[in-house]
Amino acid sequence: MSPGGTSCWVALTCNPKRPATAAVLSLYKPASASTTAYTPVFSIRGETDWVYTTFFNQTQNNFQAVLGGVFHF
Amino acid sequence: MSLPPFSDTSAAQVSLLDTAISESRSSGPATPAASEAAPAPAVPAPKPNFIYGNRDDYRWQLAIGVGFYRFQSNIINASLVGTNTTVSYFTNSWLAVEGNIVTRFRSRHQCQRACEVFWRRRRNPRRRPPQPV
Repeated sequence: MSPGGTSCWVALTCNPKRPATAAVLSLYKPASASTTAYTPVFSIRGETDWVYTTFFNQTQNNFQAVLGGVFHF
Repeated sequence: MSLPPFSDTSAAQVSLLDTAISESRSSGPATPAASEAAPAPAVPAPKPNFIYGNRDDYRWQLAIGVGFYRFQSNIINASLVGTNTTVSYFTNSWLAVEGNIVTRFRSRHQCQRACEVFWRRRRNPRRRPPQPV
């Protein structure tokens, strides 16, 4: 990760490859993050994650958002 | 405001092999004639003064943030809030060693539904003492 400027990434993970497997267990996981440097010492970082899983007839939703500062020293 | 790349910092300019010493030991060309004017001795560059630390490459990173977590399932739903703390040490421009501490907390009144589900499953109703009539 570069200490200066803005860096960001987006990722998407999908688990089901076969229909038979997807009927039992499936996972979707999109995620993104961004870091912006305002000074050589301080940056602001944001991140979001979402995980959706199914297991037989049960489903789970997990969402997470993080916002914070980064100090370089 | 952007930082200079890692290759421009003093850490990238450090050489493990001192070229002056190696050249003096090697069998190089003969020394110049004494008649040539000797150059004036170079004045060493002044050592930069840093506010803290003594390097300009910013190898350490400390990240502190707040996080929100939402969990939904067929049984319970919950929202949690906590902190994310990350410490990173960059060994070079593209590799770092990182440690994370993540905390998530939930208020007591939000625990009501979830606690009902878990406590009901842990208790065995057949072992309950008889209720007074």
